[in-house]
Amino acid sequence: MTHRSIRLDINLAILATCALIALSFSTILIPYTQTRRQVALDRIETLCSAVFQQKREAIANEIFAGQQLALASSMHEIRQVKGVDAVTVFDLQGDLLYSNGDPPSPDIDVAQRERLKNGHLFTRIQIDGRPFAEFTSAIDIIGERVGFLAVRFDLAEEERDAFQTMLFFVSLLGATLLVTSLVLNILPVGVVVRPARLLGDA
Amino acid sequence: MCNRTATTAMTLLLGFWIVFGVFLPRCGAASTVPAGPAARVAFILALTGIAADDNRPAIDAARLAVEEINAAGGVAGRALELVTIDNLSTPIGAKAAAERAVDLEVSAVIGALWSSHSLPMAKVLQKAAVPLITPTASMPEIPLVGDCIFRVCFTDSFQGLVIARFCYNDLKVRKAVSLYNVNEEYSQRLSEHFVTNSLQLGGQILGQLGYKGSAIDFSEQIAFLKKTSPEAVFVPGYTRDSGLLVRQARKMGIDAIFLGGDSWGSHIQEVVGPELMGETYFSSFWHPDVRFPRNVHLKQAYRDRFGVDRFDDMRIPLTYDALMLLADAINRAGSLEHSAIRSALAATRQFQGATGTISFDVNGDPINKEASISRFENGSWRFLRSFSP
Repeated sequence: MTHRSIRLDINLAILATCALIALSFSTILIPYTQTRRQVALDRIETLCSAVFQQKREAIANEIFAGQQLALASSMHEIRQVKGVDAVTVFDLQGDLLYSNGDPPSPDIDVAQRERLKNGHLFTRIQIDGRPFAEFTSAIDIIGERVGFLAVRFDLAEEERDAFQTMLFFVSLLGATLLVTSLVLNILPVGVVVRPARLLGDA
Repeated sequence: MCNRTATTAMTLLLGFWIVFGVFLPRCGAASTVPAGPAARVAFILALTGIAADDNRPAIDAARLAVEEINAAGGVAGRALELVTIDNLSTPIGAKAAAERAVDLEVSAVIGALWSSHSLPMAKVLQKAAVPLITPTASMPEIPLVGDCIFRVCFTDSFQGLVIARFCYNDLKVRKAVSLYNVNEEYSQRLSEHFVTNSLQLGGQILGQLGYKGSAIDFSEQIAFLKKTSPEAVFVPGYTRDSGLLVRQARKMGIDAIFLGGDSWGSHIQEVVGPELMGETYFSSFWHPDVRFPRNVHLKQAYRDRFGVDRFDDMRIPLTYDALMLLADAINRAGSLEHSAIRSALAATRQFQGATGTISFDVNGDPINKEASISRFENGSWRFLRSFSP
């Protein structure tokens, strides 16, 4: 009876400890994964912005001068950047001019064009359940606006990375709990409870 | 983005003020320059960017022409003041430069030297009714923008025909390839004219492939040449891109004949290297040895003014002709009014230029301007023959 009671107490203590550890893990894990995800998105936004700035002048002139082949080539060069899923160019009304992605990014409406006056937009979107980030910017040069450009970035790798991190932490927690339960069940019984009981019986 | 725009605007203004400052003292130095306010003419060309090296020789030609015009009494009783504006080597920069010229209330505009820069300028200037003469922009559509637009060189439709005929009839080439610059409408259109005319003559075009104007690696095009094994390769690009392409192709063992358009210029040899030129031809508006009286005068004047024994850049005589023709038209008009200058330009007949006799047709194109074909040999270019329209 005493033995069973001590064992129950130990297991209750183990469960309480596990709950505390799980809580501690969560308080670390959730902000950590959120931070990692935000850092990844910031990195992607910076990458898209840098690629856009690098190609802005060329693309602006290619749109302005109607150089379709050169425009297609410039957009293909952007698409070569790892993670870029589609590049779409729109005219001044926000209507599709050219896209090398399937599906192309949707047309830019009036409200979006208004928001783009204040700088680029960077949003998370879903297409057929797949996660993407979309960088959208007006194409301006020497005070001349010639159109808009959207770069769609595939977030599958980032999502997979976040999932793997979560899986790692959960596995670690599970393993920790399992080992802790086993050790705390075996060791106190063998080292403390049984000798104490034998001592008491004697 | 704002910083970039500001920098671009500063470059534009800097280009304007630097050359503005360069030309005025020269104009003022001539003893026969009329007093009073000057007649302002804009010269729009690439002072910065990818076309700057190509366009630079035209600056001295313009400087010499302005000095001669002012020494001869100016235009319509006034000194001619040339305001040079940088088009940043881009179509949008060219449009901004043309708008700047309109804001400056110039009497007329000279430029640009590349078709992709001249076309947006033409649209702005036609709208403002400001006469424009382009020295070397050969794309057929440019004067068709309107009645204020003129040029002193031949067109690409004629040039494409000349090169195709020379290739088929003189070189006996039956299988050719065309590699063109996708950033330049001039290059694409000239390629189309060459291909169309070659096919009509009975030749075979094994393929056409584009490349970007800023390209430095032409391995894709060279692989295409190795795959198709043409007898001749037509490269209607500019000096830098065409030169790099020919150089890399020769180094990779391509021994086909290379042909180029007017935009190659004689300086392409410096990019390719004389030892790698091989059998190479190009068409041009002019050759240094042509015996037009004004060409003889220009060569002497250029030598006296700049101490250069021999110049062989065709941008020099064409820019010189454009300015001299404009001065002639303003003097005939006797006015700095845009409409009067435009009418006088349209009425130009038998103007004796360094590149030949110029009379404008109803579109503003010169009538019967010949094209010549030259071959590169031992670091120079030898005139082979000329073609008349």
